[in-house]
Amino acid sequence: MTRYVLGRFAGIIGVLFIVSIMIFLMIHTIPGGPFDAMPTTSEFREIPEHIREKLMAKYGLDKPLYVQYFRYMWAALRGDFGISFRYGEPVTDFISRSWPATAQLGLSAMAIGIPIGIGLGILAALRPNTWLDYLTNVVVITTFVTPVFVIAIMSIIIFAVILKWLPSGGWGEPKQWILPTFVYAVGQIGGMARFTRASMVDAMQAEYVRTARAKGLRESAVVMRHAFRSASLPLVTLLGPMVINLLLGSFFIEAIFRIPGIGGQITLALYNRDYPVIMALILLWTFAIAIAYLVTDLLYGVVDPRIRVGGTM
Amino acid sequence: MNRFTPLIALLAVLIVVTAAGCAPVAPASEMAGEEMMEVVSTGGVTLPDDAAPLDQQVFRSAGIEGKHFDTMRNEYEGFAYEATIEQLAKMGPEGDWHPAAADSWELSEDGRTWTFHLRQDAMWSDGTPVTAEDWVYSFRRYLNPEMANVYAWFLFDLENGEAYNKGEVDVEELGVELIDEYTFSLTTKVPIPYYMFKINWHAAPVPRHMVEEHGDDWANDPATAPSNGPYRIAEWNRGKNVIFTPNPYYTGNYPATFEQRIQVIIPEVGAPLLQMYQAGDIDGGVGVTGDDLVQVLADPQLSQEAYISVMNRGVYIYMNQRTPPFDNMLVRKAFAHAVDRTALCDNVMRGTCIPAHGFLPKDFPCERNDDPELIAYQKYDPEMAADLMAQAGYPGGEGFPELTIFTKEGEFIREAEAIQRMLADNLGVKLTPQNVERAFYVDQMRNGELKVALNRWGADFIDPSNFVDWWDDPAASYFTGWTDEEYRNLIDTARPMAMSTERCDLYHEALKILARDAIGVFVMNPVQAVLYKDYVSGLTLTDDGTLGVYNMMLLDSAYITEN
Repeated sequence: MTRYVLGRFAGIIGVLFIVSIMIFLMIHTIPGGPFDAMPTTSEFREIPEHIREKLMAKYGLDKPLYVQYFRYMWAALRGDFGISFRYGEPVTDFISRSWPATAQLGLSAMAIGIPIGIGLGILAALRPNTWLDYLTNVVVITTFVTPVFVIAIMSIIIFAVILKWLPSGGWGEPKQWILPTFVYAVGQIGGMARFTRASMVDAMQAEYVRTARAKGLRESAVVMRHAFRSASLPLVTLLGPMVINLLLGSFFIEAIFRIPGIGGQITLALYNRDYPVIMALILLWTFAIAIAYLVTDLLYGVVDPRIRVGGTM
Repeated sequence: MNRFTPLIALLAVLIVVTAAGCAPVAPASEMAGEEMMEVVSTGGVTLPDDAAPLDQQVFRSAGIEGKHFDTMRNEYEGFAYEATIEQLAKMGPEGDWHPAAADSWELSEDGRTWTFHLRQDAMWSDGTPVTAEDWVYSFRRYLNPEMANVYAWFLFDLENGEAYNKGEVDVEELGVELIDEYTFSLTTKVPIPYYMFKINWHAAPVPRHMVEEHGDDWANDPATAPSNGPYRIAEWNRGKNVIFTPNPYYTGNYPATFEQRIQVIIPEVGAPLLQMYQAGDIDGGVGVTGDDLVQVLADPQLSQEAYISVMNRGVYIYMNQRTPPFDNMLVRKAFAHAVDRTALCDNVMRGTCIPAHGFLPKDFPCERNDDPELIAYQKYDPEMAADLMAQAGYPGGEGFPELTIFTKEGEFIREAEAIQRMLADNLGVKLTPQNVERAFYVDQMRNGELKVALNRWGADFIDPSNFVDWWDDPAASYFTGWTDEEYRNLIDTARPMAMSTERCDLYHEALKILARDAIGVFVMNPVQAVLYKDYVSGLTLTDDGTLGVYNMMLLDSAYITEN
């Protein structure tokens, strides 16, 4: 088991190196650079060439690409991910101050959205093709197909502009958490409920469920201990990437509700050609996803005892 | 224990944590039992009788996050600084100048040297005196080659400004001179009668004592970034807000009326500003255009709070004239006559812009957009447009290349759609609108791939030179491929002249050349509404109740009324 995990970690480090090279090449290949035109204004003005050269030299962008890459990696290995062109602060500071907001939002949304999604899915599966099933279906499909920014703006108009119960955005006070958390949670319900229903419907027809009933177990025990347990295996597969997505944040939610997180930042960093932020966020993202899959694989073993990772039976 | 339990337990913990986090807080206690009493701000201003108590004297506006507080490194990277810096002089709503950091100033006989006499009791918000040395240091630093200031060109018209910035001469050669502790002078290459606009729009001193101690990092931390204006920077909560409070050492003419000014930080894209304003999360300074403007005008409450003006912004079709098809003037003229500006503004944009046939925005100094001769050059006339296109060798658009008409950053998308439709109907040409991000746009412009785009120019300062000079700027003409001796002579003659009808005549001639040869196809000026809540009183407005153009005194006497 330990050997298995260590092996996987070595693999993750290899992946990070490959990704770092790919991203480095890609961000330097896309047209346009960070100092091509005046920052943050839309009037078109060229930066005088002698100033541009100074700036490129200041940030080491005048060196050949491979030199830039090795410099970057050498610094990164020592925990220095450079300074954001756009914000002027070290990328590590930027991430460590931004991530908590994103993580809090993601975890809260998960804590609300996932149980509701699973609950709706189970309810629908217990009474397939009844009004309850159809009703949950309507709820699920509505939340599934409505883009999150539509829900976000609608919720601001209703709860902040018309009712004036909640602020339109911002981050810091608990009442500012409510709208984005619920909007974000609503977005998670649909997928979760669909998956749960599908695998629960299968599980409820399985022989071991009939056996459990025949033993005279209470219906709740049959559903939760027998049917749901085996039905939760595909859910674990779904949960891994979902958790990571939630922890890395949503561009729309964070931009619309003005949340100082990292969710919107990769888009903005690409837009501003803020190379250090792009690199750091994509590496972080890669690392998080790799870890999520590792944890998912380990969880399979917990949920389904037939699965043994890293060893023989 | 059931192996599934940990997952459920984790979820349960998360639910509890979240529920605790989401518990609503008690609403702020209401003010009760108000009696009439004088409200005196911390800045020392006795507020009018209808002013709300001090704790409500907070003004909140919205803006994107700055990189630092250094206005003399790159203005557009820094925060909206009007609260914290005090310029030499302030322009009032009618374009009149009022002493601020300088008590007085005079211009030399030859019109090149401006001498400023500073207010002698001025202090930084940390109690250090502001002296002429700070000012001289700041101007020199602005152009210092080591700073790599991307806006250095803004002061290239100082004597040796460009040469010093390129490292060709020493700092002593620069036209910035210390005369005594409270006096300094600026000397320009040629007489520039509108120089007050330029330096007061962009220049404020940096605290030399802090810069020398902390380097450029001084501007990253409110603790080391004292201000010389009515407010100081109290807090910078990255990603959330910047809080300005009265500068305890301020002794000037514009003492703080508010107890706090807060800049709420919004992301570069996506924040629903109008909804934030409607929800009461910001108090004013919200500019809306386009569809938001239509909504504001239709709303009984919002329309009362809106100050409407034509923006100092010209929108035009940019064409790369280095290569076919736009090297052919007939093609450009055909385009100019094929755009129905009235239909664009009235129908497509629902009244949120006004048609234009020249480059200067409406009501800008020297603007004569009603001149029939100017209008005739680019008047909508589909038949003439089709004729010109045929003369150019593309009858009915035959043989004309398929091009992309670019827009950037989501701006002017609908305008571009409408214009390509008009060009297709009237000229038979096929242009595909494509909206791209700024970096890509600039890259395409630079490598000549960008042939045609919907572009804009907005004023940095209020003088026609700011608009007309752009076309003759080496960078601009590199992209347009256009230079013209006659044009250059006109603007070079006009630039040093004092504002007069003769000067405007020269500028108008230059503007007619741009329209006549269709160097750009001038399309429209957007209309904007700026919203201020009705409880924000005491705005310094123009005589006819508008906000004025670059009115630097707008909020100087503003306060919050009882509401």
